Amino acid sequence: MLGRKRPGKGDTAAQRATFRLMYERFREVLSLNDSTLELIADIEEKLLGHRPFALDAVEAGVRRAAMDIFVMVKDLNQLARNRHVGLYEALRALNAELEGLFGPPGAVEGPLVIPISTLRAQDAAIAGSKMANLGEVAGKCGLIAPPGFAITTAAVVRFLAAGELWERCERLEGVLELDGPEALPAACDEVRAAILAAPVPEDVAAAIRDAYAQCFPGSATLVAVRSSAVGEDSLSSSHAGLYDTELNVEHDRLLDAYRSVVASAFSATAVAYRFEKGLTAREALMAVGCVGMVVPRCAGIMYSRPPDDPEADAVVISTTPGLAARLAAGDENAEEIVAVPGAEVYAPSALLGPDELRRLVNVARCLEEHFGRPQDVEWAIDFEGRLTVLQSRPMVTIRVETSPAVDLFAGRDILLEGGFTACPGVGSGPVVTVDGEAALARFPEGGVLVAKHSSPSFAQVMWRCAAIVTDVGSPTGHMASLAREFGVPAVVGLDGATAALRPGQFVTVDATGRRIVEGALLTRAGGRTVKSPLADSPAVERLRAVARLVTPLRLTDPASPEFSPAGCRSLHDITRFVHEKVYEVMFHYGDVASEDRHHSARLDARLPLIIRVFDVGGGIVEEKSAARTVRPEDVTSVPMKAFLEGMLEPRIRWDLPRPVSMRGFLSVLGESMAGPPAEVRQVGRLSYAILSDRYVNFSTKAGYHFSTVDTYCGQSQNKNYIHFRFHGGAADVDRRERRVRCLSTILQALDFEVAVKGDLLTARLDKYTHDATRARLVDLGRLTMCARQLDMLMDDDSRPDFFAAAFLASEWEKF
Amino acid sequence: MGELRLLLVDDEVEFLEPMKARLERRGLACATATSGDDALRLLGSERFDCAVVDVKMPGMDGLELLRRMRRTWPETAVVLLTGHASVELGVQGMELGAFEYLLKPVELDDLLDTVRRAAAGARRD
Amino acid sequence: MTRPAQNPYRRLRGQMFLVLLAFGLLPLIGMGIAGFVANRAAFETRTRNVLEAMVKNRRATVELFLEQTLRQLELAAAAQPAAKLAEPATLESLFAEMRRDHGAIIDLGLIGADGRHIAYIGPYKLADLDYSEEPWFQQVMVVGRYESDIFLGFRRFPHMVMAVKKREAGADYILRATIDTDLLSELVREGGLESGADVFILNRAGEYQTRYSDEHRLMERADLAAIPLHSGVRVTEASAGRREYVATAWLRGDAWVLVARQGVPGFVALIRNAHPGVIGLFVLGLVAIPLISQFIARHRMRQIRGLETERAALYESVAQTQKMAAIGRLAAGVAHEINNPLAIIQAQVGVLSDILAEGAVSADCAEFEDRIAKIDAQVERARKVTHRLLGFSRRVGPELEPVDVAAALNETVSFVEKEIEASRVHVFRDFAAEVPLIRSNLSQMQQVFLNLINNALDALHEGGEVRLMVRPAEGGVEVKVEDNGPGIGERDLTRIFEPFFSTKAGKGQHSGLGLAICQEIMRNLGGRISVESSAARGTAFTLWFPMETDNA
Repeated sequence: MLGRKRPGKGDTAAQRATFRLMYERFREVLSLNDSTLELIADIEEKLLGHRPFALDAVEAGVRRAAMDIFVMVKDLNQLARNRHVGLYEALRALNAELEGLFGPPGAVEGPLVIPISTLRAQDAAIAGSKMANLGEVAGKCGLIAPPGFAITTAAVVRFLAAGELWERCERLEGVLELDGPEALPAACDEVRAAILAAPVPEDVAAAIRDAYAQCFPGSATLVAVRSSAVGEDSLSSSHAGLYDTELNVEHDRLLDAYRSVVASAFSATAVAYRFEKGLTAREALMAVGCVGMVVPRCAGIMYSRPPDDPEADAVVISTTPGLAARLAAGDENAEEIVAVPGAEVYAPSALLGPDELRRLVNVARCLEEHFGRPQDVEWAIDFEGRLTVLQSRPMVTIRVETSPAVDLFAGRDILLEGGFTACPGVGSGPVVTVDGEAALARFPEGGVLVAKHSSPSFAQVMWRCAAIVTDVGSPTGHMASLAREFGVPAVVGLDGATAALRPGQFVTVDATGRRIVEGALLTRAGGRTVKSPLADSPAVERLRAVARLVTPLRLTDPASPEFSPAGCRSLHDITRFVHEKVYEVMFHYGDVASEDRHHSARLDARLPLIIRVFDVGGGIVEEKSAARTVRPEDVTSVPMKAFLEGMLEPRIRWDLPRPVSMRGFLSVLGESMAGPPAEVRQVGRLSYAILSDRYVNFSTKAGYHFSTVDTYCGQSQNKNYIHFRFHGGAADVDRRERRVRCLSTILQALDFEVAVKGDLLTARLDKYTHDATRARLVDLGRLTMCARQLDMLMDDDSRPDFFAAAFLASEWEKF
Repeated sequence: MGELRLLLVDDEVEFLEPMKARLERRGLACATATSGDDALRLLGSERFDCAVVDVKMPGMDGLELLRRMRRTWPETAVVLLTGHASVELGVQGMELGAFEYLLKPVELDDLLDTVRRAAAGARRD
Repeated sequence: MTRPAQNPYRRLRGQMFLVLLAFGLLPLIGMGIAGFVANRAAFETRTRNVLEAMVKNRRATVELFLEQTLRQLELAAAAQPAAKLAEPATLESLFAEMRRDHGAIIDLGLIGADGRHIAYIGPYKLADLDYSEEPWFQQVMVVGRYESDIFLGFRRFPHMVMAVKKREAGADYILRATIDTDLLSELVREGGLESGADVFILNRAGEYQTRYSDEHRLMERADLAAIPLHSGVRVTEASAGRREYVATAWLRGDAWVLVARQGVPGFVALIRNAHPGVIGLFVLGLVAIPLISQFIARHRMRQIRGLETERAALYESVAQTQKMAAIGRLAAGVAHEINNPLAIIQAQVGVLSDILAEGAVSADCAEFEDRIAKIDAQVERARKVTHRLLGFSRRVGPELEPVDVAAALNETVSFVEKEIEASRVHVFRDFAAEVPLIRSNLSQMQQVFLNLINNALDALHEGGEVRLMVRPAEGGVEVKVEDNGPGIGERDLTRIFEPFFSTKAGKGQHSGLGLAICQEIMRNLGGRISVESSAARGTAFTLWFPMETDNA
């Protein structure tokens, strides 16, 4: 489909369309890649737990990202003739896992109802902690379990799964986050009305009826229907008073009461409470308890320790005649007794005898011992003197909050300011400038890594870094993402950092405030990101489960065997893989063009190269679009113009006899006699440029080497890049290697990120401004011409540095 | 080579009929089928360059049809055209060898372009 | 309900200004007051001291003057025998001599024991007067010397008389002189010239004996409380209308009292007294602090507003995508269901347009084409929504499309046709014939148009005019939306692109974000927006769209 037509048969329009399509797919991959990286950055930021967030919106984002990545994978395979079909499988697996985490919680295993008498603490996940505790304490501390049963979360999942109730419930957090608290009550009312009106699935209804019949023979007993949500009653979030309890429920109102209690999980207050606590709708999965109504003589609440002084050995008992419901709500004048265990005489009480007080105190201590922490106990004593515990939960004690840190930077001289926060936090250490792989190997513990570009390769040393600062880079880049994973404070895109910071200088980087000051500042967290209050909340936990499949980047090294579809363990990995491979495809773009040379125009320039240009849109002036030859001034493609400008540099005298040494000449001659290298045959004798107004893929064979420039140069900085590959040559291996070294030195000095493998050199320059990118392209054009027969000049090991210096000093005549 | 022969498979006649009319007006030979079985019958008796297949259909769905077509009539390219976008369906479709996965409603020109490319690719292989 | 549009920034800026002002001025004023108080105490002490010293000095001068005059008279009386004195020539020369010495004597007379003038030199006709019954005559006859208070006497003119007795050969003569009170006044007043005090002499009855200013009349009662007898100099504080210091000293055997009164230095006097550098600094502070406060408040507000602009624009875009994301889950299911019928509508309409295009229908089909195009556009709109919901829309291409700017503008006008009719505003179109297609985002572009047209409609009354212009310009297309409304004030004009700024009073739903968003969109599209306005010509917004928007 990529135009493997026999020469002479194709028509220009169809070819043009093919290239246009390829080009658009390529651009689409890049754009989707950007948006995916943005999502990843967003998730990583939320994972820090500094702010509450709606999980639902993240999930929607991840789903869209998955779709984006599908389109990327499809584009790549369509561009690369299905060379990477394995990606589909990798994506499918990840997507299935993600879908498992999203949406209505999968059917919860377990019975729909459980009698209280058989409940144990480990049933909290399906019966809710409140009911599970009730079953747990029965038979202990001389207590009896009240008759009744729990309707489990398995039942509520079945209930809410019907009729998309669950989706609507989960959306409420999103309403709060995006539309604000004003919008919440109306949305909640709507959802609750829907729950109250929804039919309870027949099997659930039947299970409830059966359980009632078993626990309360004769169907005349009134029951209390109380909430027992899964996340309720934990120490960090008590949910106190958030959910409804229905008292004196008759047999035929049982299902109504059930719906009403379930619906109470979605009151505006409850939703807002959970949101702030970092709890999700899943924590509102409501198990419901149906407990026979006790007709109490008196009832009350007791704290096994005084709440304001948990160390003291005393039990605080509040009691009221009859039901204690209103006592819990806090609006009844009740009797309050502070009882000290072991004391012979308790405070006098009008409602409770000394024996009863003693029993209550014993129960309080017993429960406390059983659960291992102070308890908040609801109890009742009936007219026969039987003590029933209605509820026992961890008691909330008062804790002192630590005060926020003071601004340590006040009054300091700020060395540098600006850039983007890639990972918030503060770190101090000596500046270590990193300008290549070798420098990374020597990176000391606790150094502040300062580099021109951000690079995922920094992952190697991140655990040793105090902070990272780069001149260029984006907070959505791979490195930024890694920095967050490692929790290393990082500022990227801080222009001039490498110039302003001296190696060895001791500095403190405030990545949050995007500033750098001289000297060390002691921070509480030892220079690392402070863990935030929401860090362990269920919402963050759940997000972490999602993030595990989205954000980690495993494929950092394209050369490693892991770099394959099978090695993709996250959406990030797939994105990275596609991103890498799509460039590979674009580097072969030239090959494709070479099959259709009769459709391209010849560039009529005073150069020792035959260049054919193929315009996929806006690269050549309108009136020359059908011409056989175009002149450099007809080129409107911004990057091509720049590149040509460099190649046409009048001071590069390719037309004069070269100052070639005899040894170099003989070497080239020898290699040539052995036959040209494979890639020379492959690309033919022409150079190709595929142009659009902002894009060029230029592949050239100049002399005996093969080089490719793939670049985008537009107004949006984040999309600009230059990727350069240089390969081959006719001289012996030493000379080629020296040439690559020379080029590498030059390119690094020009801010490129350079990787060398044998005589293959790849260089990248990403996210520079339009003008900077343009300037580099001019340099690259000059370099392409200068490097033409550079291998012949590489007589000994001093030559690479000599010629690199010459190039950088603009002494192009020397080549 | 002759004209491009296209098979449209969709359970909604309301969609098939005007699409057929439009595509034929643009010089394609167009047959329609309202179910997977219908489509298989037609494929058994005629040769098509390309089939545009809806994914969600009662009875045999588009993916199953695609699977069988790749087995029996690999020379006919398949373009999936669905109102349902899901990663799962898309991935399955592409893995099964669909030429393209398009979302309804699609611009006629885009569809034509895709169908022509699909047919061209199928003829070459 | 029709409350003027509150600009929260203006209020905030006002508050910030006041706070800054207070912080700047309070210490300054406090220092001023403290300095003033300290200065006044010192000044008052000094004033009292000066007054006291001056009174002491004046008393001595006056006493000396009177004493000398008397002594001269005595010497004259003793030096010559009475007969000699009785000769007018002798008296004349004596008079001249005394005048030369003192200048204070107006006349001189020799009086016999019978109280009648023996001889007289002076301007008055006194020769025939009989003084024998005058109290001073009695006194001088007994005591031998006499000094009078100031009195009117026979001459009906305030004067003072001095007389000494000369006994010669058993006969008594009296040498009498009239003293020039002006000279005395002068002598006393002289002391107060320097300090600005009023200095004068009162007799025991509290009548002025000297003038302290030229307009002042003698013999009147002074508006002072009765001054008790005391020795030495006394300084008291009095307030007769104004706070003043009164320094008093009795003289001439307690017959007269020398008084110097001086107002307690007022605010102005104190200020005048302070160091000019201090005053300069104070004034400079008073002037500079409000200016600086104003400047800082403005500057900060500009910064805040800049941030706010960014935030608002960001919020708008983020909120939009997030909302999309949030409703995504639920709506995705719906989107699936909508796509199928949408595809059918599209196909059916497509057939219709095919038929029309073939010319198979003979009737005038311009209207059909028009309406079919509209259906198509709406299908496309719905398609965009559902595809975006399904995460299938972020292709590079579709967001940017070739746009016929004039057609886009026309279509936008048709959105608000009803409003235009209702407000009876005329819309004129001035479209260049050849406008190139540009690659841009149609819906965003139309959002800008819509906003500007709505603004224009809001500004216009019945019969107003909106002029729409489209023309190619500097590598793109320029669009102008002009109205002949009342225009935007110069002050507002600089701020209309700021978020939350609204000049539309009382129209509840205007968030004031409209133009800020327009600007943001234009930036996104790589274009520009500018505005000109005058009360005479109305308001004109000029938009410029580049030929191709960089895909940002």
